Amino acid sequence: MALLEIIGITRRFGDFEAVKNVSFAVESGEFFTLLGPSGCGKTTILRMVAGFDLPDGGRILLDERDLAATPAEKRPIHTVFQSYALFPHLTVGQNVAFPLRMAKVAEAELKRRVGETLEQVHLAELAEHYPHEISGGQKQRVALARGLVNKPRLLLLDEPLGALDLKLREEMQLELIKLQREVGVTFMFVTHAQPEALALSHRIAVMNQGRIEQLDVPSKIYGFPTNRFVADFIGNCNLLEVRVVERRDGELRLEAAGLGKVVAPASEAVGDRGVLALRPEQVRIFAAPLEGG
Amino acid sequence: MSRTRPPGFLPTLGKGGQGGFWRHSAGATVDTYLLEGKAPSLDTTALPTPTLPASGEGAVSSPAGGGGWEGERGDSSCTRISQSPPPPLFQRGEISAKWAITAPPTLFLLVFFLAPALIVVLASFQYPGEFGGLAPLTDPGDGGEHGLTLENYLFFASDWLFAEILLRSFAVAAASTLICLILAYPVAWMIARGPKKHRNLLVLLVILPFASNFLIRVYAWMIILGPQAAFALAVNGLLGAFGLGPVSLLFSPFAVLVGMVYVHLPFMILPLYTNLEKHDPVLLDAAQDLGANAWQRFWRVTWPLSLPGIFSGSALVFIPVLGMFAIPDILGGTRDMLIGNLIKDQFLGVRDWPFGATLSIVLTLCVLGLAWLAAWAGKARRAHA
Repeated sequence: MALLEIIGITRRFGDFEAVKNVSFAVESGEFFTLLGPSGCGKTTILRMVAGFDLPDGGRILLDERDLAATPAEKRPIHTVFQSYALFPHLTVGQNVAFPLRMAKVAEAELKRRVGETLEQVHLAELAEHYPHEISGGQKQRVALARGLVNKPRLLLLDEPLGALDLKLREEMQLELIKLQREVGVTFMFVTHAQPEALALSHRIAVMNQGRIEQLDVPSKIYGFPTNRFVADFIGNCNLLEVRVVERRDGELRLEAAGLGKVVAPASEAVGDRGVLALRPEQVRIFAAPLEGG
Repeated sequence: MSRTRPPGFLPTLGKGGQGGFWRHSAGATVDTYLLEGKAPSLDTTALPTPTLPASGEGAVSSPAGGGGWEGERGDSSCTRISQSPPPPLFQRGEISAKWAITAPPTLFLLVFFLAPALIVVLASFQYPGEFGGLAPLTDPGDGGEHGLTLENYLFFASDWLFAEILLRSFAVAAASTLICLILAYPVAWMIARGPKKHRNLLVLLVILPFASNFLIRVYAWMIILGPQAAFALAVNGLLGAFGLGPVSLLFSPFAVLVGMVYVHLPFMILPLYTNLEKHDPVLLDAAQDLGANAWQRFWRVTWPLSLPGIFSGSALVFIPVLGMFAIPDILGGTRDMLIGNLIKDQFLGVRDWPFGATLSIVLTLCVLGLAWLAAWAGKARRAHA
């Protein structure tokens, strides 16, 4: 059974429908990503899962229990905010201890778990420092440690790498994967950076204008985009208007304007007109025309 | 001459604690420039003569760096009192510009603050003059009192009454500060969290009372609390229903407290608002997300982050209330004398200037002691945390 089930949720802000009847499920232990351009509704979904916002329609189930009546502070779901939202008046150690204090964990146990979690993110020696004394990458780790220390059922990550520079970002990506494997907590990641999503996720839901356009594993999202938006949004891509000349088992023979005849793997698409998405790295140029081409 | 001088002289004296407390930090800042200004002048390897705008900039930025109190109040990151680095050193050639900028205020403080303060210290060790004022320091030859004495301090220590008045003043100041804090916090919070477009208007409304004269506003309370006013009638009607006798609201400690709180409330609201307005709302989201209920979110996030605002506001209320004499004069009864009234009486009524000076010095020392205690407690708290 899925850990998190989202069933037909809708969210309206005035006349604007930010989330339109979205359904998906996140499996336990998964690294699940909501990917889409800004304003596509991914953060709205995240806020509804965290409990900061309520859907206008539909249901959110965690471990088969409806979350509608559970306020954010009672949900076993923690969030890593884009701005980290570390408490400036508390040290790194006290920040990480915060969720344990709220859960009234005994002092000895609390100390042990804070130390253990800080070890995991390699920050043990910074426990006495205040957030304004540490770097952006370190703040990021503190935020992660704070989100994970209480072993939530689900950790939401709202563009957590957005504020880091490129090099640090790549380092943190690797660490995120490692950390998730280590602690075994389910991650739900929100980002608009598609390389990040492709590199990190088990599965990706590509969103646009409040809808999920495609939900699949990264290789399928990249290799077999189901529609024009996904093809265009993920990676570099040439979109060619084509006409279907012939359908054979497992193959489509197409004719593209200005390019001539093309053979493509069959898709479920029907009709005799369509768009061919051609990745530049898939194009090979030969000196002589192929036989029978 | 001595009739015209005291009214101007008195408020400064009455709030001697305040003056010393606040301007002391400003004075220290000025001293720092002066010392540091000299060092680079010896440095012959200084950078090329800077242009005038650059020097102006340096001079403008350095006071901000040195002002510990101001910086602390505006600081929202605020966990520790910012130990700002020393103001940038002035280069050779900037010194004349620096002097041109800092000399007038320095001179002003020396002449109109430091010198009078020292005169007050001296006066507290002198004998009173025969017709008011001060007795001469040197023997006038007529056998009258002259020279220095500890008599004033001994007189202060001889009667428990003076200490009682001092303690009562501290109690009133503490109560006023606490009531102001309790009233101001929700107001400041609502302004800070309210829609942005209304904030400036609301802040304007908070400071609007300053547009009318202080005394007029205090006299207005005489009417509001007066025995024939609707408020007093309502209170006494209510008390009567429980079989309790009519009380006089006016000329009572209650009226003094009302007046103190009313006058000083904006001084608590404004620093609190400035602080609360800078809080990042996402911190409350984070706290909630991590399991904090509304009560815990307030006590564990909002309150500790607002401590700098609370301290500034409390200082701005506590210290003026401590020296205030006009409000107890107008609204208080005969038994509600505070240290401010006592000091004022020494100068205007009893004409015992040396004892008035002594009371001012004692008050100032008490305030400084309290400030030191607060700083020490703050340090200990941070060390513990």
